[in-house]
Amino acid sequence: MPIYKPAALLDVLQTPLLGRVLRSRQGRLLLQVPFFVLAALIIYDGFTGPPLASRNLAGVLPWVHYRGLVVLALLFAGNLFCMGCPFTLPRTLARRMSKRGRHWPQRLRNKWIAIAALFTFFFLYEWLDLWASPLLTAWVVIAYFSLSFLLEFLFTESPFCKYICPLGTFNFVSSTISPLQIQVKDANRCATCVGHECINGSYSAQPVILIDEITDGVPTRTHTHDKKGVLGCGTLLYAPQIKSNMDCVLCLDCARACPHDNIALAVRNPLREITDLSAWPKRWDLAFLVIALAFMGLANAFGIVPPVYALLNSISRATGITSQAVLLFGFFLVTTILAPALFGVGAAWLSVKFSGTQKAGALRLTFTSFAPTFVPLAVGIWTAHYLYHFLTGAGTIIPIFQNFLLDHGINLLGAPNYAAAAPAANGVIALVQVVALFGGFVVSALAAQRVAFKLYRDRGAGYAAWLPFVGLLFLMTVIAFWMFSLPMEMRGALIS
Amino acid sequence: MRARPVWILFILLILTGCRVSNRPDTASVLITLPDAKPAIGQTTLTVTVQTPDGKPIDNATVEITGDMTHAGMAPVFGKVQGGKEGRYSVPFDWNMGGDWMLTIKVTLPDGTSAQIQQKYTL
Repeated sequence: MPIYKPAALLDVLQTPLLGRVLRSRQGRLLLQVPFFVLAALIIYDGFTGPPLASRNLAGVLPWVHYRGLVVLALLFAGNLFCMGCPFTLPRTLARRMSKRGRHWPQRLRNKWIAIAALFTFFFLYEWLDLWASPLLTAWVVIAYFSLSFLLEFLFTESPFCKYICPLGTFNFVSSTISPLQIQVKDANRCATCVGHECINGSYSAQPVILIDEITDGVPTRTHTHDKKGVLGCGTLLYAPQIKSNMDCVLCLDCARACPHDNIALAVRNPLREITDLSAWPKRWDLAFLVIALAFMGLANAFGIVPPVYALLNSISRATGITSQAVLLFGFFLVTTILAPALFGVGAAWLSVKFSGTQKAGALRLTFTSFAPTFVPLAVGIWTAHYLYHFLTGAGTIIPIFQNFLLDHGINLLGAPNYAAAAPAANGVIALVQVVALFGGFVVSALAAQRVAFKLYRDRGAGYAAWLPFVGLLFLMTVIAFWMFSLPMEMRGALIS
Repeated sequence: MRARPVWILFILLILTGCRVSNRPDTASVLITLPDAKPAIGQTTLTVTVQTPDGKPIDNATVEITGDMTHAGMAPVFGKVQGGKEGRYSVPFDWNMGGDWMLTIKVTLPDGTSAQIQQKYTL
């Protein structure tokens, strides 16, 4: 593959203080350690605290704050939550204990498991009422720690992040419209680089590497590796070929490993990636993941509006099925797997027909080219949902933490201040949701139009190819507006 | 680095032993909650407080705390002192649809108290 180096607006790694902190060996730990403490608090309060989620750190931190802040971080910066992921801390221990002999099986090197993991996560979330159970939430966090540790112990790369983790998968897809991306500064340096430390890491016994010609017996520049070695990219992305944020956990190991200081965390046009036809491989799994995530956003939001109960009750009466697990499984199977497959591939088929193209493989090319343009709408739907919870409940952390301290005999912050837990005004929440949904739709539609015109030089064929996809985007947006205009509930019993 | 998780586990173990348990209920009373289907909005909940043999108790304090089962909603409070024939009318705001857990705490003049919880769906 050719070296890829688009123009960068700004390199965050070169900013005076932040850049130095991020590039330092302990830079990632500055985020990971606080997140690790928060994860430990979730586990602790989940097991020992009040059983009500609205009174427990294990209820509020993951289901209100994490979800709200993650979409904001993805929209305005990048994949900061994968950067600060606490699950990778014990994983580092596993990596050192592991013989690192096995490779993740070739046939599993795709996103199908990640799609299944997302589906399973959302199904379990509804079925087991994870949002209402601090205890189960604590077990989810333990499961995350255990799985990432186990897979890191067994395999050479980081398969949990890249192929399984539902949180990571959500972040990967959403970060494809983030304004920050890893890229190289000077393509020529990579072309002549021998070690490719950005991906291989460096464990050189010689800690000082001369990287430039020696003038008058004195090296002009040197790069000193830490004697413990520097890791290369855990998800096996080769910096000079990175065109996408997909699979980038923003660990910045590549920047620390590069002896040429040739890696930039560049500010970019957030729409560049999803409208660049060469940015993503033309894979069914990757394309389906994006469209499925948009439909998952609709299905997940549908779970908190009244019609879902009427729908499931009517299905229950019509079919005689009374098991909530079976009903929910069927509901999620239809809405998050079958519907995106049917509507996504259907739109691609219509697009091929309308444009009159006769090329072999046109269906796959069309589906995979337009799929990335669903990211803005998907992020818009998730943002409307997650910010609803965040704007409604962010302040509740204050009395909950005050109660937590009082429970342990610590009167540091005084009596619980419930006035601080007041939700944002309804008008503010509604405005945020309208901007997220309408903005998501407009950006998706414009991106799809740009993709159509890149696929077809003829404007008429381009518009014809665009029409089915913009129709699907519009339909999804109307459904989303309808759902978010209904009175949102903080959950009710699904089967009455 | 390697020692950090061990330290955190150690701290967690210490904290586990530190959580203060709630005071046990000591009052012997019967608390009856309204069984009508609630609706969103301001309302008055009528709580009945009696001795175990059915005699009304009038001089108690009744506090209602409504928590939604989903995280992210501040609790709703209602409180009233003194009742008539054991009936206490407590103003309460069902401010959102969904699952609620109501905790009704009755404190008698002698300082003893009792509480019950009941789930409601709006």
